[in-house]
Amino acid sequence: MSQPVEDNGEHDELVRENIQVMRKRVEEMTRTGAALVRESNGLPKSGADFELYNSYPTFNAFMKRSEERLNALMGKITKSIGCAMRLPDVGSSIDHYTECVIEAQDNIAERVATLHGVLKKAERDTIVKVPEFITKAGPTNRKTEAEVAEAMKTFSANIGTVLAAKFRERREEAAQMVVHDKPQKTYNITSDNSSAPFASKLTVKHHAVERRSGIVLVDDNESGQRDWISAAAETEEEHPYIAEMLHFKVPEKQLKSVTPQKFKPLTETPLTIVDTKEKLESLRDKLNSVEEFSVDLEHHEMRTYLGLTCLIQISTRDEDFIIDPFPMWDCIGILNEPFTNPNILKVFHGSDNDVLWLQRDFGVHVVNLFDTYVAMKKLKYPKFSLAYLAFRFADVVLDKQYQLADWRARPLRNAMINYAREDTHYLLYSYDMLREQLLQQEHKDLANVYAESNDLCIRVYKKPVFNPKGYMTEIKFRFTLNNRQDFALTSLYRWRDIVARAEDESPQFVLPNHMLLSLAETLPRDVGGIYVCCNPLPYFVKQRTGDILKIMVESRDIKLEKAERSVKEKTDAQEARGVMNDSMDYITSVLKSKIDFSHTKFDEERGELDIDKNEEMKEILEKDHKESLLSVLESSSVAPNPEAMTVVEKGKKPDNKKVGKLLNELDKFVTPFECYQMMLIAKQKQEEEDRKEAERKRLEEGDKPKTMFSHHDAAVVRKPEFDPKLLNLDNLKVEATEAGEQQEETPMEERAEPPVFDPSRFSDDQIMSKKAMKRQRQAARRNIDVSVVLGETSSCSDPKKIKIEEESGEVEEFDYDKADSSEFEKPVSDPNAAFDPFHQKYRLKNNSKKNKAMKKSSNRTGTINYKK
Amino acid sequence: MIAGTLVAPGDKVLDRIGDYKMGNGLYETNRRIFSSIAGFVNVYGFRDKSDNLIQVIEVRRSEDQMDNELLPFSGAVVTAKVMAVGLRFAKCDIISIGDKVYKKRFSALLPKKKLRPLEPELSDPFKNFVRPNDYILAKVCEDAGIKDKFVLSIAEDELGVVLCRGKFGEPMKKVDWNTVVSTRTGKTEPRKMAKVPQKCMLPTDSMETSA
Repeated sequence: MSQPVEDNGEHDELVRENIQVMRKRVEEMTRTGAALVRESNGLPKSGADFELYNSYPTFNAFMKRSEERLNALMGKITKSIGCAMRLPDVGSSIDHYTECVIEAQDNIAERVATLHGVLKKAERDTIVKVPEFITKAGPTNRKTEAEVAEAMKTFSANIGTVLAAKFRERREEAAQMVVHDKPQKTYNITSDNSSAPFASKLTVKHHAVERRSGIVLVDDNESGQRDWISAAAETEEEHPYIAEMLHFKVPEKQLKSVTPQKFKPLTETPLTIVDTKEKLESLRDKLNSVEEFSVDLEHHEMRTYLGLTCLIQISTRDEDFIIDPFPMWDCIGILNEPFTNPNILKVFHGSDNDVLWLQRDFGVHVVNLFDTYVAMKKLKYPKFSLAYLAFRFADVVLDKQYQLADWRARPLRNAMINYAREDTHYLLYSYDMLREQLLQQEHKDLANVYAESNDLCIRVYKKPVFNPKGYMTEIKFRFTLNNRQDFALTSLYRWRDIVARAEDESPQFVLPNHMLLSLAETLPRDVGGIYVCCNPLPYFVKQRTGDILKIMVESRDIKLEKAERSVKEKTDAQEARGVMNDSMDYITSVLKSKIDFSHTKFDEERGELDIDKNEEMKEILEKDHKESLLSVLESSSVAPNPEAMTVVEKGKKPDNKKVGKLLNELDKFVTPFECYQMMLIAKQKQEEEDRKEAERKRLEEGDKPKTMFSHHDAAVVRKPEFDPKLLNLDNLKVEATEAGEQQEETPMEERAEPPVFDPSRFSDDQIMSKKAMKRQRQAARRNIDVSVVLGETSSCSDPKKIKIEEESGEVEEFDYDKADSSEFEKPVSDPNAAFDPFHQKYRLKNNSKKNKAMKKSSNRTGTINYKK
Repeated sequence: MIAGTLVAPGDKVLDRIGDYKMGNGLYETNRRIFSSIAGFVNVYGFRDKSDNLIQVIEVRRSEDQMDNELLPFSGAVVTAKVMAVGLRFAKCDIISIGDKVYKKRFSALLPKKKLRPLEPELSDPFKNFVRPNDYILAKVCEDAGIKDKFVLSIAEDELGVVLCRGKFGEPMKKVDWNTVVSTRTGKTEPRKMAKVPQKCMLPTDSMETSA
């Protein structure tokens, strides 16, 4: 009977304030439980007296009654917890009873565990809510069992619905946050997207005077004495504060151990949204007066080319500030004063980008920086994120859901403001803790962190330079590109960059990488094809489809050629792949080492050998002959003696004659590979000769007109030419039949008896009436010897003629095997006679059945091709 | 510059790797670079995809890549014996890589689609190209599907069957590049012969019986 105890766990969860009372109750419960057990021991046991007692009806009835009562009690208790148990029937076996009780206990324990988990989660995250009637198990006694079961069911299902609700909320939030106008336009923020080098925005160089007067300055180099007021002369090569950085000394107080100053709770910390110039000035004054502050930026890069700083969060020890830079974009520069003050410590987390963004957008430079990320690296933490930092020191779980939110949205929502201020709020305290840990570890470490942070500050913002082949590293390929695709990819990549610069959008927004790749891969022929490749369709693709189509058409026009890499390139690439694959680092080198370390003084922990330091520093060449194995190599140049290498059975004399014979035979045998090598040499010679021959021919022929054409050649403008041959009357008939032939295959083309006057200037349709054309066609058909209409034999038009022809020329079957195929390769004897496939002469000669059949089939294929 | 220096296994090549990439024939211990083979130190550069020059330092036995590789590598010309022919693959044993012969044979596969250039899938049966117990010249190549075995290809004119025997173990003679004829029965069989000079001969029948 341990349900009450179990029950306890849940109550404990629910009524925290009554822990004391609960504890008492538990004690009481255990006491009564013990008493119960004691009492129950006094009852007659089955197998001993129970059967005897049971024969008395009063005892029997009493037992039954109490059993019923017990059942009812158990049911009531479990019901009140919210998970009703399966009640055993009265009089059922003890086994059944225990089974039921154990089941109920399991259920309870499980529910306690789940509820506990959910509640814990709910504490952290307000959105997950457990339905009330489950947490408040009390009122269940009013509910029916069915309702309880329903609640149980929905509880498990509810996690899904709760999640769905969460997602819905997020989506609505996202819909609210959509930015319709680019802040660049609304606030008139200009950015120089040209490829010109970045010009520093620094207007006034704060804290430069100190250096000149010799307070900070350490060396006598006067190179820094320039006129800082004209910042226009500043190029992107040199950091404006380079001298200050180099002579920067970490203030003594920052290197000392101070008890960490705990941050104030968020609710007690005043938060100021800085969005006017006056507020900014007061903020600057405030920052000038403190000793340290922490900074973080929110940045947006999808809808700008260079990127846009959307929010600056600053926290001092007692206040949080959030700067909205858009309304006063050009004024933020005044913050340069506290930021470059070497006596004020700036704490960043992961500042490598932030520092550059500050330079780029506002001309704010940072001197005296502590990067918590660097410190975490130095302390070898398991994770290096800000969330982990806050969790570890401030015991706060940061919700990073807004990390990638669109921070350009204005007005800022409360949740986002909270998120933003939390980024910096705990940073100063974390800095304190990190500093103490660094000081504990080793004194030099803190200085190292400062030095590394300083290195981050020295970096100068440089505009991204367009690399025409940059896609090779930017995009992962699943296939190799042929030269068409490569051309398309290069052009698209350039187009994308140009558009992005012009429209102040990121290249990814103009045309995402995967679409770029699929466009280049498929090379669509039309606009529809382009739209298929890009889904969802980016705005600029829709707007400038024509440009893309042009690129596609251009790249389709390029002749496909197989890029044959030279042997050296191939081997290089192959070797390089091997090199790239197993990048040797400290651990792999030890793991992959083929040396047996078991007999050396190899320290596996440190991975170091005990090596005499004096000998260590020697170069290879100076190495002693005894130590290097080179001496062995050099002495082994003597050719091996075959006799010395013969191995024979013990007690037998080596049969030198046989060995010699065998060796001789082996020498004679030409291995296949040797044949192959011979072949390669012969092939190279042949190629060389061919090349020479071709060159000689080319030189001989000089600039003869081209006689062979391929479809890769540029299209030739065919001007109407007057052909003197056409004037020859003998040819007229031939031409007519030819035209008749062609009419079947290509009805669109002109079909005509070539008129003697100006034959090519006009088509028949232009100069003849319909009737005349029909007549002419019929005449042509009469003259023709092969039927040109599909399925129609020529007999129907002129049976007599065809009969004669069939008698004369049908019998002979052509044997292809016996025919001399070289006939085809012979050059045409008469170079002036162009080959005419429809020439009358050939037609008359081979007018056999076979030929006819072929004709038909070719006709058929002709029509099919035309339809295509 | 240390390029071109002769080194033996265990010789220190560099004190630190610096900007180089580790190539073959080197190992790193105690943060120093040692040679693992005897050969010449060689430094070569190549451009990676984004046109960065990468310098690789390595130790190689000779100029020829053939001598640097011990196992069959992609692109190597090997002599192999066809052990069995299936529907889609022929099982082969690589006997020699280039002119190096090992005691052990490497098993390899010759897929059907690598029999002839420019014809990915063909209806010709395998026996028109190679049959079991043929000796072939083949090139090791890479195949996307087969990763656990060496893949051979004879899809070049110079590659194919060099030696083959007939039904009774008699040598077959080449008639043309697609046919061989038995020296005993005069029966012709189709093969894809390698277009190499037919210098290597199987021992004649008399030798055959004695062996």
